[in-house]
Amino acid sequence: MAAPASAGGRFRQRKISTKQTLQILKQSQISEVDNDDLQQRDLQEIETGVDKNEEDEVHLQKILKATGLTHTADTYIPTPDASKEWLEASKYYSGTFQHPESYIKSSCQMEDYSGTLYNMDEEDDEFLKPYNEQLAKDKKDQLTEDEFEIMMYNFEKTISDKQPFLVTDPTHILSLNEIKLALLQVDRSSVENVTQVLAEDLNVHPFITHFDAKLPKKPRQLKVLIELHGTSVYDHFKKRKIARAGNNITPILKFTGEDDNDAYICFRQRQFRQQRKTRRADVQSSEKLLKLFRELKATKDLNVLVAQRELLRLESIKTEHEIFELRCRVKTIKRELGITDSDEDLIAHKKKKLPPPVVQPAAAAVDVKEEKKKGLAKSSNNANIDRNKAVDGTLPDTPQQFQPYVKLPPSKIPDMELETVDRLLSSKELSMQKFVDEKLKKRKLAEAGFTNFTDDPYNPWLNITTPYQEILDSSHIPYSSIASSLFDVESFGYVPNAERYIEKGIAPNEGDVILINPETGKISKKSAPEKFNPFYMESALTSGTLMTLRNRVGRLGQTYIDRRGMVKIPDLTRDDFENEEEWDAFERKRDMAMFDSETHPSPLSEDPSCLNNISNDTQVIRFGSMLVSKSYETLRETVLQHRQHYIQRLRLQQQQMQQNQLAQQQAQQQGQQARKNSPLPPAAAQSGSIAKANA
Amino acid sequence: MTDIREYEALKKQLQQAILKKKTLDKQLTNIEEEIYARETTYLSEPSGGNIVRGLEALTKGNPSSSAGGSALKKRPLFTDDDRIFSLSSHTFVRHLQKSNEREEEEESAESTPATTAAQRKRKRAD
Repeated sequence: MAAPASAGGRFRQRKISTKQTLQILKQSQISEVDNDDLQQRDLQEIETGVDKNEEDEVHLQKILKATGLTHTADTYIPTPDASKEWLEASKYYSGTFQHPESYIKSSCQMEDYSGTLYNMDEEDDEFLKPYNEQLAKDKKDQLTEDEFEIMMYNFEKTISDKQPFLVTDPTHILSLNEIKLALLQVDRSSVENVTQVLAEDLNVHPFITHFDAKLPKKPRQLKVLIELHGTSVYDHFKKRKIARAGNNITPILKFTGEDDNDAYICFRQRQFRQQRKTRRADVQSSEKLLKLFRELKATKDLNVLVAQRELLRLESIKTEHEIFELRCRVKTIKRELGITDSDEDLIAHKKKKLPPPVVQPAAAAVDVKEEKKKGLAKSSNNANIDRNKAVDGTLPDTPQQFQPYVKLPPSKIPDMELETVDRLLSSKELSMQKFVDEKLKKRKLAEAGFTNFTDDPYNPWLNITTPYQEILDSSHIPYSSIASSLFDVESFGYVPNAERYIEKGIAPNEGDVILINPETGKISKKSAPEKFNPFYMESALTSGTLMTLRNRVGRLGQTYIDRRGMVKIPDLTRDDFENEEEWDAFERKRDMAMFDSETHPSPLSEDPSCLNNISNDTQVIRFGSMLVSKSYETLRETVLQHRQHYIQRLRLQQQQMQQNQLAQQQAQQQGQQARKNSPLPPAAAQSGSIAKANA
Repeated sequence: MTDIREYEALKKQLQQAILKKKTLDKQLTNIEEEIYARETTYLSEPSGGNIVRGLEALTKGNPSSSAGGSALKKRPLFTDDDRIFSLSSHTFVRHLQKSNEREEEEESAESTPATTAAQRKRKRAD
């Protein structure tokens, strides 16, 4: 293959740029231009559809050069000769195919059906026939055609793996001993060896599935075949390989243009170039493939395990059969010999264990049934106790109606556990008990050191109600802060001899008063309980503060602490005092302790926020809102002022304008009059122009 | 005349066979349990379906889209009907039943002391 003369100076189309100098050719110079170069330019405009490095191909170049110059009939694309007709074809392919009723379904590839991929030809036949005759003479097993093909295929495969470049020197082909190891090695990942791998993994020989064709005679294994016929068949293989110049004995189709020296490569079939996909899609599909691979691998592993299980089962069944037969024989011998061993029960005993407990599921079902019944009975007991619950009322009479017993197949029995009514109730009760216990414990902790004399100390001490009758519209109560802060104490718990206890400090029952010293833990019986008369006031302020203090700085930096609620001023009236002076002194003293608001008890004087029971916590907010409203007011005032000012100014301007106009009119009139009277009245004209400028 | 020696040999053979059967059965239950465990992990794996339910989710568009993606990420629910590997053995079905019964028995045994304890508590509270 000779390269064209101008292959080196390849012309490339470029944009003409200002930076590059271009040759200018005049008409007289055209003949000097290299003809080839021009042609090269023309050639490149034709889209050849061939790889760049293949454009040099001789035939292609010839065709390209000839386009337009000669008729295309003279040029041609060289193709291997395929014009021969095989006249004997009808002799060999005489069978007629009958279409089946259904579609032909197949998930295997062609190769899976055809057995060994090597097919014998006439030359092989010429070798095999005399070889088998020789074997027959020596009274040895024949080498079948299938076995021969297996051997040839494996030789071919191993050689092509070991010596991929055998074509360069076919005489250097390896000997049988050199490839023996590779020959017998099984490639576990290859699809061809699936049966072999499975047979090894599961230890099943021979490995036959339902899908395998029923051959009259299974071919022997490769290992055996090589031992028996390896040398002679390999010699034949070697001969043929060398004759084929190192190529495959069976010619194979050319698919890829890997061989650069191949003359036909330029005109090979081109594969559609796949569109470049985005990276993301690539990643996704590869992830999916990985997932699929994992899926299939897991399934395969599981299937292998299942197969192992079934093999084990087969063996166990076989052993059981063996046991049975052995027992029979032992029994007969025993009878014949009249042996009466105690060993006999050993056999019988084991035998008893063996039969599968077919009855058990039914028995279990019965158990369940009974249990359910028990549960129902228990629940009915509970129902009797608790008549209020109408739920279980009808249960004991017709339990079958409520839970009809449905026999489920064992595979469909749900995994979830059914809870009995009994257990549910008991757990409920338990939790309630626990709750109450905990509450009691807490109460005891809170009341450590105190004694409660009330009837039932664990019920609320006060009955508190909100005075609904005072609220006109009770629908607002849930949202009203005022209503929720009003409480009325309706009643106290009953205290026996409470009055006596409160007045005299004597416990109703002397033994009841127990004071525990929290530090020492000792019980001191004699104690003076704190006195608190709950009847002193008509209503107790349960949510109010006990006392309030106020720090106040007076004149000369003197600090006062105002107390409230700490000192009780006796509620006396004028009648309690004998003379005016004492009453006066008392009144003064009382006034001193009073706040201003208290001296003037009119509700109007009180802080409005207090009146509405708005807490002091909102002080900041209220102050803030006050500030805002104040600032808004000032802003509004200023804006109003500004507006008024503006309006005034506008009015002033208008007035001025009117005045100016008037002045002008007057001036004009004056001017006219002046022209009539005297030739120049400069002052009036000037003043008019000034007024105009002002306007 | 069959003699005692033959009888003894037979007996020995029989005993060995019984032993073999025992070990085989043990192996069988072991492998069955292994299948069950591996099947559980396989079926509960969050991927686009499985060999029992079909692998259609893998053929659907990109996994980030709502339809395919949720199917790929969601943990699949499976029933006993999907256990085609482990429950294809009838001895294992029986084995499972037995173990379930045993559990139930244990539970009922546990529940009785609990109730008695509750009753005791109630008494104390009274």
